[in-house]
Amino acid sequence: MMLEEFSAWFVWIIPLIASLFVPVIGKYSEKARNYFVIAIAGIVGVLALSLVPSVWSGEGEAITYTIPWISGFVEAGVYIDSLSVLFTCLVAFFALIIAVYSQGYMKGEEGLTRYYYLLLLFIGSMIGLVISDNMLQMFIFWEMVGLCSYALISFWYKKPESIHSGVKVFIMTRIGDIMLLAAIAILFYMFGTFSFHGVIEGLQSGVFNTELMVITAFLVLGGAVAKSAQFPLFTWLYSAMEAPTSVSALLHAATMVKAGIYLLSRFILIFAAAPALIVALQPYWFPTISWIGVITAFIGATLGLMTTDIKGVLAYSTVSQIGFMMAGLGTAMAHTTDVAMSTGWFASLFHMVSHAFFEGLGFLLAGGIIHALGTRDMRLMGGLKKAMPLTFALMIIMIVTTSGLPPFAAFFSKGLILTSVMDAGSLIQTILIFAATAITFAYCIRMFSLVFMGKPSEHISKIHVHEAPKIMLVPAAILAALCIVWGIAQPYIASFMHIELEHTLLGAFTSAETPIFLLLLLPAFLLAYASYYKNFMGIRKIAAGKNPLTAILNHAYFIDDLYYGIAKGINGFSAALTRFENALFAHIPDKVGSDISDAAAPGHVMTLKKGPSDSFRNYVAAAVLGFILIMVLIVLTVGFGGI
Amino acid sequence: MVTILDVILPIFTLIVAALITIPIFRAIRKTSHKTGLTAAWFIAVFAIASITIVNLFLSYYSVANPAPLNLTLDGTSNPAIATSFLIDAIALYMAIIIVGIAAVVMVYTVFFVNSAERPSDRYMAIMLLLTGALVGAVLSGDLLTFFIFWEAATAAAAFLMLYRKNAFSLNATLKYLVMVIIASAFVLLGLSIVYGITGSLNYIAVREAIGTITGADMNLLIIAFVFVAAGYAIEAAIVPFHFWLPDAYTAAPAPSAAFLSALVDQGSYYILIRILLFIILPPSVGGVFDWTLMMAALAALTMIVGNIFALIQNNIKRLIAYICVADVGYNLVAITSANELGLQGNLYFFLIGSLTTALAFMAVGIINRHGFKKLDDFAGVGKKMPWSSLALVIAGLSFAGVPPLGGFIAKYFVFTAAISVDLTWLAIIGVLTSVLQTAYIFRLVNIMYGKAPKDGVTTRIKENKYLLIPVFILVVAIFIFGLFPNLVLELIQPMLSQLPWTVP
Repeated sequence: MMLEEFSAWFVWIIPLIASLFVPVIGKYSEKARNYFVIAIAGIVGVLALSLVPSVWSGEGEAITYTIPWISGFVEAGVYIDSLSVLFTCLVAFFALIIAVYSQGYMKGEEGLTRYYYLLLLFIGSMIGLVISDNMLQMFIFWEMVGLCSYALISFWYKKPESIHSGVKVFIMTRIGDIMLLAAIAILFYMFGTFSFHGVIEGLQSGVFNTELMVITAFLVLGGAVAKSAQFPLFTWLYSAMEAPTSVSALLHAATMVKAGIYLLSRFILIFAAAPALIVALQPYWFPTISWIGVITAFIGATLGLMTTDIKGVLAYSTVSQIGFMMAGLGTAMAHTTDVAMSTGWFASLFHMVSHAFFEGLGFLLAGGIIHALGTRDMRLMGGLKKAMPLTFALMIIMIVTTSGLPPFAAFFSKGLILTSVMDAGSLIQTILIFAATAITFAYCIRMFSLVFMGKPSEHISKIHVHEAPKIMLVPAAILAALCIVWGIAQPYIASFMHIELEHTLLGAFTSAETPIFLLLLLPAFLLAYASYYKNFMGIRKIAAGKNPLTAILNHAYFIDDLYYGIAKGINGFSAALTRFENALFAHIPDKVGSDISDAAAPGHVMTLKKGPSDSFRNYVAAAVLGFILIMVLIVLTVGFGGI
Repeated sequence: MVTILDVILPIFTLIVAALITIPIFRAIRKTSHKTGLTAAWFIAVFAIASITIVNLFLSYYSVANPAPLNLTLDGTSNPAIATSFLIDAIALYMAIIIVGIAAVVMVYTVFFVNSAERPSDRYMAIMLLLTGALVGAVLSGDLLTFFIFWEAATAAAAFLMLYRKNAFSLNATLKYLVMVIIASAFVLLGLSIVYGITGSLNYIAVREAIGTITGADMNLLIIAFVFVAAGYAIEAAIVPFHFWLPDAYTAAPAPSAAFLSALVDQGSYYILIRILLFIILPPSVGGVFDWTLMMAALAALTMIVGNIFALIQNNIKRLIAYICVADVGYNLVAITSANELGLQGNLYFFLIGSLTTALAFMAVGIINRHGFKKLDDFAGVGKKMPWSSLALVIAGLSFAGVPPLGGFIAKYFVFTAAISVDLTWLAIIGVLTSVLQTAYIFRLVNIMYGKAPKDGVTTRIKENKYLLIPVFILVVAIFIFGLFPNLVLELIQPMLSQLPWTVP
């Protein structure tokens, strides 16, 4: 077995198996459990890194290893190429960062065994998701990360809002899951295989139904939109902030929400196997992605301006930044059918990693602040500059990177996306995405000034604020360092991804977008400066007053209200049906009684309605179990091939 | 030579008799000899029905070595799509059992039901209808005709359970109905797939079509038959589909319970035999797929669960209901064996099982009338009601397989059949559970004869001699068939040359 084959299997199998040991170890010693989790995360990190050399030295060809899963029908496999290795390394790296950070942040919480169990389960599933060669296998992991997300959001299950958020997130992401499943089913129907390389071979042979493939592409997009919190299904990410902040950093900033980006980039690679298909997708599918991207980028940024929840700002920031990535993917193939020539595709993934760094940094710092103050409300913060100097310094790096100021990571990555959109998108898309970058700067400044500047609030003066512990600051500092250097690594990453990039590092400074971008930051800065430093009352009045603009922003564009309305309508309909059924059923016993019996006692009505329900359910359940038993016995005798 | 008229006549007689029973009862109620006239009417009906069956029997066996006969309702057209009847040794045998036992139970019912009660006419009319539907079901030659007659039978069975009109029986009936509807849904789904693949529902046509099917269609067909089998498994009360049965039999009055356990239950394993042995064929003779493990597992489960639950019952009727469940298990052992010996044992078990369960419920019905329902109440009943107690004990001993009663021969056939196909483990489970059966039967005997009554009263209670007549007809039958099994085997023998795998 070659090294990379060994690594590719064990990088996700080890955490999945290790997760089962967490409860066992946790029973004996909490300390041993914590070290065990860190050790596993470290092993995963090493295994992930060991995949890099072979991919880098290769020529962009994917390596697949398969083993039989369901004999003669489906093969489980791993798919190693630059895309999957990039994601694997990112997940493994963040897993280690969060495993260390959790030691400080989650110290003393109840149910930590459950937390670490879910953490390892998530790490294994997420890596399994990005490294699978098989769509069925990928879908199983896709659901498993959704399950981990649900369970971790509801981690504090005694708080009703945690449970509510967990369920909401689960239901909303399921919309996408179903669409993805439909897409997988169509692909299986067309090509008779679940494996990526099988589908690629099928597409290369050129024998496929183009219309059906376009539909499949839209279904895949639906899956990505729900998982990556894009318009119009972005509202779940804000609710997901009920999770512990460490979880938010790992799942809802760095890795899980990027599953949609992974899915789209993967499928663009697959579709590129048939240039005719890319041509068929160019008129509708790609523009839809870029429209969804720019609209989400804009909406997310504007919502980040209004929320008072410090994690809310970061959540909307994530929504907005993933919108940027979507816009990059949507404009990726406008002029080419070869992914290796596409700036947008690379830009999107490059920004994906830099976003993981700066947004993860933001969450880690926010976690420290929440840890110290016990609240997420920014109105209760202020003047933390003196009390938390290290956090303050790191936050400046985060703000600068998020805003895309040179020469930090996002300047290069976001710049490439802007270039791609300007190059291929329409004028309105360009205007929207530039507006989004300006507003990004404004909400960063706003958060910064609300939290760190000005006078301490009453809440703060009552408690003694302490700097975050070292075990939380060190991971944050590592991320901050990466925020600074990641942009300069652009040529190396491009060569790792086997992309022929026409934009050089220096070119980023001299291109046309940079001055436009910097000029746009000025009004944004002035706006924030005027409202938060000079207390320019007019602006604050607009924000606090009752006008359509604030109403829209406060209600997150009324999208949640729409969903609740739909849910309420369905509930109302089912309640009406129940009333109808009750009304109907309440009369039947009387009729039956008078018909078949001379003296139907009034008690009959009660027993008929109440009686059967208790034992009866068990009868039906037993019958169903029996049916399953029969099926199992048949399969045991006839074999899998027979059924 | 059998014509379609010969086949339809018994079914038609019973159903028409059911329809005119209510006006006849109106007339009878005005006279002074209500019970006698009622009994006379039913004896007449069953006499005619028996004559028609005997006519069918004789005209079928008028030729030497008769082959299975497929008759369609419209005479000449293709049997694959027409409503058809299949006359062979098994169908005739089942029809004779059904009419014979129904006649005995009917006599019991006439004297059991207080004829002053208003709904008794409908009750008896429905019994006739049920008998007619069951005869139609066993004579039918395609799965759809069977299904239609079978649905009629289950609907009628629900009314028999509902007779008591109290909350308990309403509840039990509702459970039964819902389970039956689930079963029908399963069956119908399976049948529609079978029809879609083979283009027919006729037993023989489906069997022939199956031989030519391969590949994905075959997999679908297996699933379809699993659905059909699961549907009829619910109706045959195979564990774990059996839950409705104890509730229903306990709630139903004694004649209903006797009727249901003796006839409706046997009917539902009859279709399992038809499907497993005659349509998809046993695996040893080139069947479609190997169902031995499935049936063996269900048989073992049913024998074990039925007997263990019987052991812990306190209500006598419920106890007998669980014995019925266990009996299903012994029948399944015979089906699993899937050879001539097994089928012979199975058919013999049908007869003895019907006689014994009917006898047990009828005897318990007489005892229950005097307020003895729980196991504790039965203390000393042996002295108070000697005749009914004796009948109940004989039924119990036949269940347990004590020679020279019929139950012994039945179990002997079943277990030897299992051993002959190397299912010795199943036979061992069967023998062990039979020991369990003996244990609780002897506990019952001990309570009835060995213990003093709770209230201390040992005076004899007068037993209704009209009720004892049908009961002792069954007792005599059990003795005769136990001592002279050849009487029955003679009837079964022709079937051995008619099995699909022996026909060239």
